[in-house]
Amino acid sequence: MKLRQGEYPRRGDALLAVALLLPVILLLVHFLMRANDEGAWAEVYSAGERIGIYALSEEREITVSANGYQNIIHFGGGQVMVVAADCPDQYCVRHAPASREGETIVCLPARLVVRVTAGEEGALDGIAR
Amino acid sequence: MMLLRRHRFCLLLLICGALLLLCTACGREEPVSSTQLLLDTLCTVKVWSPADQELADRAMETVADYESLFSPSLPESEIWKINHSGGESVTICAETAEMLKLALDYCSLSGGRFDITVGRLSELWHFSDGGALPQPDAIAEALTSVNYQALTIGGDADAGYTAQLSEAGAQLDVGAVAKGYIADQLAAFLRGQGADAALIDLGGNILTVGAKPGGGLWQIGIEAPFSDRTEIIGTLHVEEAAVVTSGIYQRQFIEDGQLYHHILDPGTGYPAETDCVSVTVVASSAAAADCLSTVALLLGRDAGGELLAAAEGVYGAVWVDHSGEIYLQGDLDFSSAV
Repeated sequence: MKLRQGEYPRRGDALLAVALLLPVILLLVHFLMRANDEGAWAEVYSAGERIGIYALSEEREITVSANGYQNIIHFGGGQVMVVAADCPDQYCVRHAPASREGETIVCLPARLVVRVTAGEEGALDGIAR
Repeated sequence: MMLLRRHRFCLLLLICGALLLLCTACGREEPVSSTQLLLDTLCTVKVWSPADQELADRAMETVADYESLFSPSLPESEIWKINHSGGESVTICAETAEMLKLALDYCSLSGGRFDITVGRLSELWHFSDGGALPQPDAIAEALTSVNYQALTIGGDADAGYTAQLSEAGAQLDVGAVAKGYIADQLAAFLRGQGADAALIDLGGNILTVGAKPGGGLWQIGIEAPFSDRTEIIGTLHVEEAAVVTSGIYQRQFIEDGQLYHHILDPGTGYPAETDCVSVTVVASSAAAADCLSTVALLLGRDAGGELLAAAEGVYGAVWVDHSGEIYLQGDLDFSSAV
């Protein structure tokens, strides 16, 4: 569509457009910033209590003891994994690193749950296992 | 009209902006959730509408209440009391009676290939502790107590219910039915509390309640067998439905190069020899999906498929054979990831 000289959009129209769009853009930026602020984290629960939340971007290793067992959890490189445990089944150690939102690593004997709470958003509502 | 034409450009921009904002907002409808280690697994309840944290927490308390009834390892549970009754009749509540009757129906439907009296046999294999190959004579001895027909559920709502295991030494293993039954009860509880949209995940037994918030279908992935819980074979797109998988990879161990899994054949006492590694059943009821997925896996794709096709409330199934081939049964909306 070719505009004739002097026809809209005039300066007033442009100002009105900016005035209307500005709040929308600001809101959008706010949403995106909030999403980025959340980053990728993992919550660690031991025996039903949340003992901490850790960024997956920072290299860190923690040891959690409960129910007579010990798990060593490694965070870093955008993922979290249980690198060692003295539980009898070793399912938690065999579990591949978790990085997607909602992904969990569980150690039933130690009553340990590691859950990724934000990050690469999963498109799935659930996974049948 | 002139005014409309004059500001057409602005209106267009405004509409685009509003749509953009709407899309952003729709994509971020957040549920409240409650997660706990119960039933020997990770249980999560998400509630979107109403997003009421107290409701999600109460739902999780309901799961804990059922665990206290059905856990075979809690000495106060009704299943523990039945298992240690020495053949005597035990008073049970209506919920335990209902769950056991349901399980017996599936035992009968499978012609005994599925049997909830394999408790002693299951204990021998120690799958919850990583697994251990039992001695053959111990398996043979435990097999003598496997007989679902030895379980009798008596009474009614007025007089109360009883359960009696007449076979000496027999023990119940309700692992293939309890989670499904509890999920159904949880869904009924949530609906009764006015919840329009919720997702129940009891260790990978999924039950959706109501329509997915924001429109569209619920997206339920199916875990790829032997993938360490990180890959999926595809996604089921479902409305209100239960999605439950039974697989030989879920609890297993390898000894001398041989894989031993937790789905035991009540005829031999050893892990069932199946032509598939997993079957995912989609049904209207989680209890049905839970039981039938185990029964179907035990029976194999031909006999199990026939059973599923004839079963009430089953929408379909996804089978995976030993070579990784995927077979769809029924009218399912499934997109493969492989």
